[in-house]
Amino acid sequence: MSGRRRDGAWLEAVARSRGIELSPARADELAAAAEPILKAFDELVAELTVDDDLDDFRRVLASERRRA
Amino acid sequence: MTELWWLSVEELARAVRSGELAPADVAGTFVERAREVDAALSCFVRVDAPSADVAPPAGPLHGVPYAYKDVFARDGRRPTVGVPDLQLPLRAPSADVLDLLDGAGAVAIGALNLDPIAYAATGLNADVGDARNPWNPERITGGSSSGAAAAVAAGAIPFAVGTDAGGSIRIPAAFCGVTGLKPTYGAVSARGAVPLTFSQDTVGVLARSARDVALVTAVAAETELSLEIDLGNLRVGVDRSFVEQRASANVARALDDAVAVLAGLGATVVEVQLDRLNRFDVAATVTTWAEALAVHERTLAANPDVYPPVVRGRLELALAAHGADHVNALRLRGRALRELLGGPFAVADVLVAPTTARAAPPIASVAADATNVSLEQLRLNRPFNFTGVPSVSLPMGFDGDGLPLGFQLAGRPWSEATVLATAAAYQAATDWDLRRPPLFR
Repeated sequence: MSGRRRDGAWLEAVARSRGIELSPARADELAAAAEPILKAFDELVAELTVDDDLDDFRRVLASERRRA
Repeated sequence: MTELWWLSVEELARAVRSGELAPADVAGTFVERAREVDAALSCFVRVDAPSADVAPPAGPLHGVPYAYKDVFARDGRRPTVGVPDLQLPLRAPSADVLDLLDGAGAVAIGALNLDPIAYAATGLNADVGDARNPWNPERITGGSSSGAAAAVAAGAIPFAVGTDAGGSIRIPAAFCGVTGLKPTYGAVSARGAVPLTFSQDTVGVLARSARDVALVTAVAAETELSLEIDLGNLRVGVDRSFVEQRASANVARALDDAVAVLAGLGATVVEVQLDRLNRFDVAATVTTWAEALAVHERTLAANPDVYPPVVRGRLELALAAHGADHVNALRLRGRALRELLGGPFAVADVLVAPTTARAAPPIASVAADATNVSLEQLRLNRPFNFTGVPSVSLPMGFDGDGLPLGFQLAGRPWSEATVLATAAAYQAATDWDLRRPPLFR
């Protein structure tokens, strides 16, 4: 488990807040499946600096288009 | 004499243009063929007989029949997205890409089967019918553009339009032995298509040869694509340890042979490292979660049973992605593309990789393990979606059971001409793209 609380109770509450019903057992199962992916994702996010912005991908694509 | 349905896009267009073939006769023959093939392979959601009274406009695709994955709006008709009871509103009455193809003279003869909401890579669809592989109908087609690949491979249509958010054109192209291009992100308009993941969805073309894919893509992307290339100036990057870790021995051997063909044509083979690229796969997953949920959340809340259980489960799993996670995943995208350009593409013009880890598995075995079968193929393809670069899959041989194997040629953004020209040069030197499934010759 990473530092963030991402157990079944959390996911069940998230789902309920979005109008989606999950049983506690189903929420536990989904939270367990999501955890390793989110943990690896958190490690990747830790590499970001604040100036890695949302537009960078499109900026690089545009630059490559001019180069092509 | 070659049957009409095995003519290339180029040959059909030329024959119609010269008056040798009448567009209505061509369309009629393909509609009949499509119905026969569909009865065996469940590759169509719908076959439409076009009106014989309306002549298609003259253009580069004059009178050439095609079909499209059923995610595109057309003439105000909403697509099923592979889930017949799902009603998703679309603003555009017709998808831009279909308008462009129709304007170039192509003739749509139907909508094609797919994995439900395009959120898997197997071709299994209990509601519409599992799409079946023309090389062995007990095998999967791959997906999600399942019907597109099967219909092209069986000669039901000379080309198809699909979408690819993580391999959905390339995976079925490889399993069914055809050629399929995922273009640069944004190169072909996705307006009028039901999205899976806005940031990664790309609209692309499947056909039997790279030449045909290029001809149609030039229309769809409103560009020119020259297939002239000097392979003596081409650097081909390969990461053999990446291949060995992710693909079967059969596939790795066939890829070695494909690389040897390219080297024999004059290309320089260089070693590259793709492992760092692969670590972004989790960011692609988080992006897909958030964006698929954005499209389907209202329906999931109001009418969850409309989705097949596996799809419903994937959408529920997506609830685990927070809004900030989605933003961070998109922030990682620029970084991933910069790493790809500064690493592998600093030393290579095109990268080769297997499209699938193995040949198409049996439907019976996949039904019990659909998620893992999808993931096994997605991880070879999704890095090129997350980074938005073009990648074409083309046939590179067969396994011991006579099933096709495919490999990818990926290039820098906007280098569709380079990857397709390389693919065309490879196909001119080999005959894998000319083989036909014995059941449909």
